[in-house]
Amino acid sequence: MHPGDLSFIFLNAFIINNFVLAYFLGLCPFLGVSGKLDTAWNMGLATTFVMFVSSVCAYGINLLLVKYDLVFLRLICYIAVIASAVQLVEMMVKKFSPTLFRALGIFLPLITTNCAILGLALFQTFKEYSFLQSIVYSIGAGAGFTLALMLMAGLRTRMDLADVPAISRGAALSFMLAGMLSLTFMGFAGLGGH
Amino acid sequence: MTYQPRKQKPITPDTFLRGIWRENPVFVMLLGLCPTLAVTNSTINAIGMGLATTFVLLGSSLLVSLLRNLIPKQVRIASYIVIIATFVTIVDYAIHALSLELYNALGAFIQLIVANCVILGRAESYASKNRITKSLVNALGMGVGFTFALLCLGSVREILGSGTLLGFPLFGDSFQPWVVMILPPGGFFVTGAWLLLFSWLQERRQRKAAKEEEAIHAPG
Amino acid sequence: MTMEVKSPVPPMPSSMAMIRVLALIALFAGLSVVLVVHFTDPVIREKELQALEQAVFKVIPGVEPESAVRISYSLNAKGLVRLEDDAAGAANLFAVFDGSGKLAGIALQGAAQGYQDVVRTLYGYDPECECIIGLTIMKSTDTPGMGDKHTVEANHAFMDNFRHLSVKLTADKGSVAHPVETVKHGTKTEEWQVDAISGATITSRAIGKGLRQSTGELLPLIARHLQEISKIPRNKEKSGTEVKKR
Repeated sequence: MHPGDLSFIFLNAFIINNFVLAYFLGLCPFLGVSGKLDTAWNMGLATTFVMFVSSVCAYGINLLLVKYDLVFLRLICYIAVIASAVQLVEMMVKKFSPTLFRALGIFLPLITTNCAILGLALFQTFKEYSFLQSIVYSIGAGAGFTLALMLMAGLRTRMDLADVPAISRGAALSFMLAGMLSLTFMGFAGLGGH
Repeated sequence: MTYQPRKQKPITPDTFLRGIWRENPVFVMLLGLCPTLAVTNSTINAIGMGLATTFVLLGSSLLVSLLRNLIPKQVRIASYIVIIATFVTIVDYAIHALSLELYNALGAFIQLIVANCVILGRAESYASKNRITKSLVNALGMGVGFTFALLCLGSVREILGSGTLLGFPLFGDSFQPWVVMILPPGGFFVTGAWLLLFSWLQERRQRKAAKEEEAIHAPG
Repeated sequence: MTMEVKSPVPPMPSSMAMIRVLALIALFAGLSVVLVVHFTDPVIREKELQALEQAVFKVIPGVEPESAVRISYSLNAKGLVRLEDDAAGAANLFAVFDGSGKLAGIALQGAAQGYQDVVRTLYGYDPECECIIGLTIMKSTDTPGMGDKHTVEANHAFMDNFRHLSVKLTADKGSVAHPVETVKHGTKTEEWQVDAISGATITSRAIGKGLRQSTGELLPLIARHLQEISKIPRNKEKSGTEVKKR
């Protein structure tokens, strides 16, 4: 597969270079809301949605900045525009679809400053993806984030019953689990390398 | 945010020290992990990242503290984000100009300092409520504590994963490096191990304190 | 953001006040960033150019960087465009001339998906022997200790592959007769094959694939423009010093 193929971009963001397990992005929600499966699912959905929105925004901003030769303002623009776009989306969802808002609502503000969102915007810029490629990349990254979150939630529900030393309960154990997950995901590296 | 602002209190050694140990941003508060774990696969990267973050912390604390009475509450988060992003851009260009090698090693993760919760947390909970000098001292403490934590991670990962420290070989040729340590899983494992150590220390201190208390109250 | 407003909210300030503060902050942000960029940009350009130059001279052996001249071009199906030094970042072809003004080789870039991410290489092409004469890895994030830049470049047996790797064109100069091919460690039999590193097969394949794609695309184009490329541009001719002065 060619590195620019849409299917490869999706696979790459989804499992090969999973945002959480390979780039350590979005660790705060990964550790914070991976306690229960259904919360993890909703969080994952909300993040995927925000990633999609910010990917589109970032693509547009970058076009403008490159056109006017202002790339050094990229970071400031990205973070400001993404934060406000997410807030706008939140308001709109609240107004037009209360059901959706109930499912995603409480997570949206949490996600705005999630490093995975900014990371996505920056990576797609550095990789010089086209509009379509950026969108596929954002969906892949969101799906990968959801996958990691749900796997972790499943593991942690089981670990609650395990008899581990008191000092390792909580963050330390979560990190060890994440390490093992990350190790497993390394097996996907090399996919599409031929 | 765990403590209330104490404006009237003067600067004490604690203002500086608590960021290094008792409120260490990484090991105790679990903040700012995201953009940092990825680059701690060698000591030099860890130092670079730590210093860059410290600079951003100092700069944003100074400015937020300076403008703390000017910024209306409704737009404070937006203002903080723009201020932080400005300093991160400055650091990004500075590192690029100073060392291409370090810049390439850190990659996009310099720019991701923006999303480091430690910095926004300091701006929101400390700098916006305290005098300039006090905010600066506190920010410096947090920065040093953060760098210290990265150094802990980076040195262990480099020693085990490449058998070197700061690029100098430590072991003989017969040493087989644990490559996994400089790969992503190693980041999780080493962090987990440090967290274990910290919570063990904390537990031991608590047990000791409890014992002392018991001794005081014991009859006779 | 998870920060809660703990203290009672003060009365809503006027919109003007908010806009004023935000404008002030934006002004500060813009001013300081522009200042920093103004002072660091020339340094960054110079350093990147230097790094690129070092890599270019590394893949074309036998020239002395002191007396050599490097010309940057952008080459695609539409044609050949010469670039000035400050636009060298957009170039995909670097012609290197030795002290006597003779074309010593052409440096080209290759890229293909490796184990973790794209592996980028720079290689030297000698149009006279129609072969690759040197290679360096620009970027590889593959497994440290196996497929990263330093480990691969320290593997002399592997790097020897690229001392004389045949990429002869077909008679009509339309394509490479035998595209570069990566084979398992120890099974190289033909002079267009790359003997992979055992333990880093995917990285070796990525390097080989990058070469195959790049040579397949660019060498026929180079053959078409070879006359133009092998002439040293007039204004660079006698000032071999121009490149080396820093």
